[in-house]
Amino acid sequence: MRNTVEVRKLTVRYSETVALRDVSVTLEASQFVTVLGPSGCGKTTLLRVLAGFVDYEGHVLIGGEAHDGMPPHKRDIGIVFQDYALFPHMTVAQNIAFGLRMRGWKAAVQKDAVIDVIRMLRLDGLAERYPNELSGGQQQRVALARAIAINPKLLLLDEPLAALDKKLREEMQVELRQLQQRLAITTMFVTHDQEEALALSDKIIVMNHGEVRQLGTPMEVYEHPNDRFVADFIGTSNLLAAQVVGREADTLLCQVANGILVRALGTASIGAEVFFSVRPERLRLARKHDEHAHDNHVPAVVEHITYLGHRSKIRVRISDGSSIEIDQPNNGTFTEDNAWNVGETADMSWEIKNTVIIYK
Amino acid sequence: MRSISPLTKTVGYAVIACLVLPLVVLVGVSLNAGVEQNFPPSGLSLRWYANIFNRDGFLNAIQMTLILAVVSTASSIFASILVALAIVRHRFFGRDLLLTAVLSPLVVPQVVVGMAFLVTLSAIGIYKSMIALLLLHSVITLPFAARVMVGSLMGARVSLEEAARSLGAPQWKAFILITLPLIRPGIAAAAVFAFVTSFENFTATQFLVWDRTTLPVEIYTYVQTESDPTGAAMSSAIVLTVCAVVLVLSRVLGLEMLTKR
Repeated sequence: MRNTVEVRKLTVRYSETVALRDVSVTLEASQFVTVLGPSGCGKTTLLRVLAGFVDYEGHVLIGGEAHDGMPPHKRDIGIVFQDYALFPHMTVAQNIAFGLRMRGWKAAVQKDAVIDVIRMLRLDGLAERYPNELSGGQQQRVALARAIAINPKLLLLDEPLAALDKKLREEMQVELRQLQQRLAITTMFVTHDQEEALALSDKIIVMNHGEVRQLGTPMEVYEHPNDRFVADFIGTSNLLAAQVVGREADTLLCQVANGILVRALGTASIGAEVFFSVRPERLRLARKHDEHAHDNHVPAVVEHITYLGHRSKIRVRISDGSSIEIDQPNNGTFTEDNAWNVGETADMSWEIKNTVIIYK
Repeated sequence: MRSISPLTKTVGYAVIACLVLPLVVLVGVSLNAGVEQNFPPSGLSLRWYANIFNRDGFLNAIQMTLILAVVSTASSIFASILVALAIVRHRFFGRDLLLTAVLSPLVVPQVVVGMAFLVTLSAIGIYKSMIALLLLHSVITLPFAARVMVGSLMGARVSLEEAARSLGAPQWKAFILITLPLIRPGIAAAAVFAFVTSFENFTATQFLVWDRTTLPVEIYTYVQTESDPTGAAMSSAIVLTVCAVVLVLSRVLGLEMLTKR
């Protein structure tokens, strides 16, 4: 079912702490939205609010309809729990049929619906098994089957892939996404794994300390982080504090400590204290300083090299004392007798447009 | 496997002998053909078993003991589920105190419990009644049931009930359909413990009986005044009944359910 989800001014207090503070987000119909953040950021609380398990201040609208105060069993929301929460005393078929049984469906109709869902999730032949006779991946699919069998208004997934090994997790990511698109169910997926978030989502909600820090497409949150937390949490960022000291047209001139000057695109008044971030893969390291008008150049000393075959991670230090992470693809330039040595002085450069100014 | 040292073996057999020999002697005495409590028995006979049925005291006591055991088991199972739910699923002020209070009959001497019930119930006018004994037995069986139930409920994850609720089951239905079946082995084990505790209680019960009494008290009273083997026959009958019940339960539930946790 295609439903929007609207959360307005949501606050959740536990006895001592505030789990969610003034959270307002909107999920468009049929979107796959990931809530991403470190543990304790409030992401699971947000999911539990939508499910109806938590008391809150504020408003929740699903499909335009207010759900405040509505008990969980009246919400028609499918949930896949982190531990799958399969009923151990029921078979796969009984687990999947549970929601339909609660809706008072006739046994024959239940059976047909269960067969459909079993086929959809490739669980054929497992209908009469008990959960403890299934592998982790199979349990995961049964949990998903049980949640979608009720044709939910909204599908909530609480780190459902966390317990699977890497290979299986990647397979399930693809399967999950395809299923979600086929059924067009509005889905909220909670994870602390930023790669998983980037890979799966239409939109990502980045949370920290009970607040929403950014809501955007995977590309937006990666390329244009709202704040230092987002820049740091998603991918690796080289973050430096700087002061705006000049402006030419749309280019800002920022001074890092120790006289290092960096140019960036953006608007800020002269004298403003800002942060900027450059992604490791956007940085280049060269022996010769070749001047280029669109580049920033900073001298650096090579401190540590991690050779990974297809790429190298190089840590350098610049004159203000900060260390900088560089991710260098192996394009054949720096191999064998030409490789970087620790202690070597180099010219670090990057395009001006790759300097991301962060105002707060 | 390492072989067991002769010393360990000797001690082991000695312990088993200490446990079993008195019962063997008891059964032997109960089978006496004579009127004395002799061992080895002077002639074999079941006459003292038959004699149980001639003694109204025993018959009434059996009836009373069974009623007490069944009702107090039921009430302490019900109460222990509520207590376990509160302790396992909720965080509240006085949670530890509740657990300690519920388990306290385990550490308070039975004499004290019996005495306390006697003076309290006398003060409010409930004495020489079944209600007094039911209250006492519900209280002394509760800790056994509660201990098993707390452990059992800890094993039933909350997320299972939440999953059921999200699938359309109201909370009470989620509890009955999901959690209750999962803690059923715990309930069975708790019931056995509670039943036996009530059935065999002597010390505290003694304070509250009047001309109607329970089986352990009746047996004790009987051997104080009579010297024939009917008391031994009654006791042997209890031992044999308990053995039979445990055998049946272990077949039905699996013995590990009685010993687990």
